[in-house]
Amino acid sequence: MQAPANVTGSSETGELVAALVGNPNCGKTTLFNALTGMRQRVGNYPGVTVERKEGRASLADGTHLRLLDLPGLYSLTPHSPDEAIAREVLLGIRPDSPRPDLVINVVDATNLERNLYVTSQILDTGIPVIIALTMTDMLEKRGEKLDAVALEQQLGVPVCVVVASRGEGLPEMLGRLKTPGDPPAPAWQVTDAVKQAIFDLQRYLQQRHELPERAAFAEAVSLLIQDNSALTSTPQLEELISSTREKLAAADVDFVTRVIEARYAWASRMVTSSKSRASATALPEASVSERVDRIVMHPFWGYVLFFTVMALVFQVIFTLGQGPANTVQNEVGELGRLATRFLPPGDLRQLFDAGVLGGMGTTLSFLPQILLLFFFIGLLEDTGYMARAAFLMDRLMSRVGLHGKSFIPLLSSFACAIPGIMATRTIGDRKARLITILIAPLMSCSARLPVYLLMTSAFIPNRRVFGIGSVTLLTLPGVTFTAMYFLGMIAAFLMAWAFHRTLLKGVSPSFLMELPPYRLPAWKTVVMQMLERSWLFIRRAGTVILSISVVIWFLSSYPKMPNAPPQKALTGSYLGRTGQFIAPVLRPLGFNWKMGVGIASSFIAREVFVSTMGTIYNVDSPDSRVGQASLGRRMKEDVNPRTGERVFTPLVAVTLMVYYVLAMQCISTVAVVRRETNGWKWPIFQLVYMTALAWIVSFIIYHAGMALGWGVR
Amino acid sequence: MKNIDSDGAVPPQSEASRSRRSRMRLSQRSLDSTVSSSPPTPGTLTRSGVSLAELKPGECGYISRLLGQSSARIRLLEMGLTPGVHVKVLRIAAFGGPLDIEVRGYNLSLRRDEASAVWLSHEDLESV
Repeated sequence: MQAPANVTGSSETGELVAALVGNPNCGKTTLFNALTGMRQRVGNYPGVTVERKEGRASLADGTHLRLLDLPGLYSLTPHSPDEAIAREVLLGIRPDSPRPDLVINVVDATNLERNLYVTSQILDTGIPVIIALTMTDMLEKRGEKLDAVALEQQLGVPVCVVVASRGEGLPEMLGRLKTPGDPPAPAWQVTDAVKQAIFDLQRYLQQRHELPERAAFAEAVSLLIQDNSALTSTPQLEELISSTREKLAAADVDFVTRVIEARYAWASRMVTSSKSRASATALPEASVSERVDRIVMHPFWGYVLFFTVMALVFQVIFTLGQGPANTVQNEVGELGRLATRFLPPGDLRQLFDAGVLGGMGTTLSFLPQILLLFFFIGLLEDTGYMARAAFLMDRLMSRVGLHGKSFIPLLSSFACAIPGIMATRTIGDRKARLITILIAPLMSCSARLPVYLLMTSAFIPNRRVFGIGSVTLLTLPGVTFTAMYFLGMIAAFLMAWAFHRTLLKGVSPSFLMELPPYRLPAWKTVVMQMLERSWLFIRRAGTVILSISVVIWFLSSYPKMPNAPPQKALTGSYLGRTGQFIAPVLRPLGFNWKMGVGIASSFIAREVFVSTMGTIYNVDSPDSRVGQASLGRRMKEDVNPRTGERVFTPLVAVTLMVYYVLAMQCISTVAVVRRETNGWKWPIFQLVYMTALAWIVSFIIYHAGMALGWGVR
Repeated sequence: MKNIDSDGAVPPQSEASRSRRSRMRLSQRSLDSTVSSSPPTPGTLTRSGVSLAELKPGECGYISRLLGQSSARIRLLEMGLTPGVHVKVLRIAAFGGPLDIEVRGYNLSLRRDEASAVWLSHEDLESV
């Protein structure tokens, strides 16, 4: 196939370019890490959220190998963005990737037939191929044996047995890279009827595009299956494709089925000619996995185990993540004090301290939880448990258009929506992933906790709701707290359902998912993935968080009022004025301008509401227990100067909490959604819908409460 | 496709297939206790004339054809669910959740509506 002119081929840089291709769960990532070590770059393909990984490996003769790690795929017929990109890179039609000189096809020996299906498609492209055969040790444990030499003879391409985790077979494989030999003509055969039907199209491609006979045949097949090709379409080609389709239909040939069957028939011939049972007595490994699954996927015990695992994981994230998060923020604060000594007092120092370091502190404070969450997700994925968890949760999730794999991102959003949204990358289905991202911030995260705490402790009377004898089990503040968490969950599922039915209608989600055999985790892979994703967060989301922090700092400190007390300076600033400006919009919810200032300033992060209230009500350290109590007292005593009515009532407090449950008051989340969806469209939509939802529900709650006479002032 | 249609496995609500199915259920229930304790042997409870979604855990069959529209259908075929292939239902998630099936030596999970597009036939049917 022709290479577009803008591709930087291997000839320019003098390096060999290899693409690493294989099924998901075939050990491809482990091999990539073993070959490249730390010399890898991770990023995104422009315009899509498909991870792009590239690395360098040294060859024995001193030259380098440029290795492109393509997303795991089951087929080159594109069903997902991942597969579409992998195909484009292989065919050399992506301007951002060099055309590979050869393909290293990673093949899982324990699942040979299905892995070789993709091999048959790769061979069709005519690019030289070398096979890296993995999991042969697992196969031997099952009591089966694979003859790599026989397989090599059958396939006609080099086959190298590798155990990447121990580095075995890697030098041999690298040694053969420069001499992969000419790719063999693909050996899979279709029936004569099919051959005849597509002959005209094949001959046209042969003549017009100067393709060899077999490549023309392969291209004809892929044109007929998917309308998606490296070739630029011409009217004549279109004409030939549709006439060929008619011929196939007239002959009553189910072309797609025949082609896929033929590939599998070829793959199965390869398997039977190279695989043998080593000993009849050995325990089949598959049954070990199967036995584990009888418990792990049990309709009752499976769920018990799942919730236990989840509880443990999130307990660890909470307890281990919270401490370092506070430490990080304190350290950044220390750094600020240290650095500001070298700056003259004034605007520059404040900008640096509050704006730049504040933004950095916010970004970095998410890091411990992100690292931990990605560590556990990597672990669950690598062992094969993640697929089982998705299997168990899918029924519940699919009712509202989500995927079984949506559960873990949503659960982790209770800690923080940032890692939760980043964790949606494990969801292959685009629609389910987008819905999960859109609803994740509705889960009550830990940043809402200070707001809930302040409001409940100050305004919700500590009355007993339920108890046995003298033991009080439920109190009104406790019930209020729980209600807020449930409100978020219910809203999330209702919104998911609404998006599923309206906005993202049409695209039907699929749950076709492999349940890979259980394996011991490859620690290096888990840790590398954790570091990669966390670094991506710092680099991409961090820059947005930092710049917005500077903007918010500016808005809250200007215009300058040098001699005014803090609350005057705040209320007189642009941010304070914004709060007062939006006050009329908030009045129908029972909020006054002070709450408007609180809401405007806490757009950067929800917990800022408490410190803003502290400034307005002139309370020192409102985060501490004593400070919080006195802030609560002052808020209670606050009366409207015109009417003499109290500003805060229990109803207003509940309405405010409801507003915070539903509103998108977090720029870091906006930044992450922008990054994960590759554009401003979805974060802006999310911001608008959540704010509207928060306003509407708060309005209903406030007025329903007033009508029921709960709003006693 | 002609030879597949001729096996008479098409109408899901025909009298014959319905009675066959209820008989299968009876025999399956009686066998259940013996099957669950020992490792299941493939091919024992072979079902035909039904879709994959109607199978219960432990039952199996040979694929006769796939219904449905192209993209989802191509995906199923590419995952190895081609005519003539032996499939076995290992388990079904609670509340009518997805199925866990064994096909071509690996485990695949798919939703009930995806499975209902997969039709099963009597025997290892010659498909080409």
